[in-house]
Amino acid sequence: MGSVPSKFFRLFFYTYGHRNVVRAVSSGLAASGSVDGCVYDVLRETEPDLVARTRIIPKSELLGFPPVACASVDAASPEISRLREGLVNMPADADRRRVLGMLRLDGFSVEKPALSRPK
Amino acid sequence: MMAVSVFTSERFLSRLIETQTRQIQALADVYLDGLSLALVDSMIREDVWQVFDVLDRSQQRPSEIKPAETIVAGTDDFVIASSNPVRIPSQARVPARYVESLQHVGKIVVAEADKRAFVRREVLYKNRPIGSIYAALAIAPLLAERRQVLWTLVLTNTALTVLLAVAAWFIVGRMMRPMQTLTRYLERSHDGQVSPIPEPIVASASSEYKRPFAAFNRLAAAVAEREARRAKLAEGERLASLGRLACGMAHGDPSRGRSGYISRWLRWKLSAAQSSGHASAMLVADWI
Repeated sequence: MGSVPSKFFRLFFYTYGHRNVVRAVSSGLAASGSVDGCVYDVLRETEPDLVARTRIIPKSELLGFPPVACASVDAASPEISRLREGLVNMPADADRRRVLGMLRLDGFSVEKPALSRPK
Repeated sequence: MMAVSVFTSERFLSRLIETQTRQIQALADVYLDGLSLALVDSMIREDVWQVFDVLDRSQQRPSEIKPAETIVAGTDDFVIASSNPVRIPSQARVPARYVESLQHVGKIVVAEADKRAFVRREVLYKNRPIGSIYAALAIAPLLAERRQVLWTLVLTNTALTVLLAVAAWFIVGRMMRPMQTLTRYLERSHDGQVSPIPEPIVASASSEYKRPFAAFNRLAAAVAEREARRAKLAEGERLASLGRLACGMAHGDPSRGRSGYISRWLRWKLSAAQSSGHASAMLVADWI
C-alpha cells in the first residue's frame, strides 16, 4: 500500500497473539487486525460468538503453517532429530493423532526452508 | 403513632443508605486496588491492548461488585483503553460526566437515577501520577434492595399502625362500655325515670366501675324514695283540700255551698279515705 501503519491508522497496537487480534476487533477496541487463517478457523469452531462479531476483509494466498524452527547449528543434533522424528510420525500413533486433532492439524512434514521465507 | 413510624423508618433507611455506601466504597476500593496493581506497567507504556485485556478479564471475574464501565486514562485525561471501546474509544477524552462528578479522588459518587456509582482512582508510580482509573459500578441490585426495604417498612408500619389502631379502638371501646351504660342510665333520668342499673350489669363490671355504678344505684334509690314521698304528700294535700271544701259546705258557707248530693258524695269519699288511714281525712271527717 506504500504506507506505514502509524501514518495510515489513527492508532495501532500489538495484541501479542492471534486470538487477541480477534478479541480486539470483536470488542471494538480495534477496527481491524491481521490474524492467522488457521487460528481464525479454529476459533470459528471453539468460540463462534467471538468470531461472529468479526468479518474477513481480504484473504491472503494459502501459505504454510508457521514452521517449527531451531538454531541451524543444532539441526543435526540427536535431540532435534528425535523431535523431528516424533513430530513427523505423529499420525502413526492414536494418542498423537488425538493431539493433532486438538491442534486442527493433519501432521508435520519436513519441507524446504524456502517455503516459509517471504518472497 | 404515624409520626413515630415515619421517623423510625426514615432513620432506618438513612442507616441502610450509609451502610450501603460504605459497602460500595469498600468494594470499589478492592476493585481499584487490584486494577491499579495490574495496570501500572501497562499505563506507563500506554499499552492499549494490555490495559484493555486487564479490564476485560476483570469484568469476567465473578465479584460482588459489577463494574459497568471502566476507563483508564493518562494524566492528560485521554483514554488509553476502556472496557467499552465502542462507546469510549482509545485516545478520546474521558467523558465529561466522569470528570465532573468525580472532583474528589477516591470518594464514591452515587447517581441513583443512573443506578450507578462513580469512583476515580489516581494511579501512582514512585509517588508520581501516571494516570487515573474511572469506574462506573452497577448498583441496581443495591438500589433494588433499598427499595425493597423501603416497601417492607412502609407495608409493615402501615399494617402495624392499622392493627394497633383497631386494637386501641377495641380496647377503648371495651373500657368505655361501662361509661356508656352509666351515661345511658343518666340520660334516662331526664325523662324522670331514674331506674337503677341492673345487678347483673353491676356484677359484670370491672372493680373500678362498680363504685360509680353503686353510687348511681344509691342515687336512683334516693330519687325513687323522694318521688314516693312527694307523691304521698301531694295525695295528702289533695285530700286536705277536699276536706276543707266539704267542711265549708257542711257549715253553710255560701261561697262554698253546693247541692246536698255533693255533701253526701264527699262523706262517701271521706269514709273511703278513713279506711285507708289518712290523718287529714280523719280531720275532715271530724269537721263534717
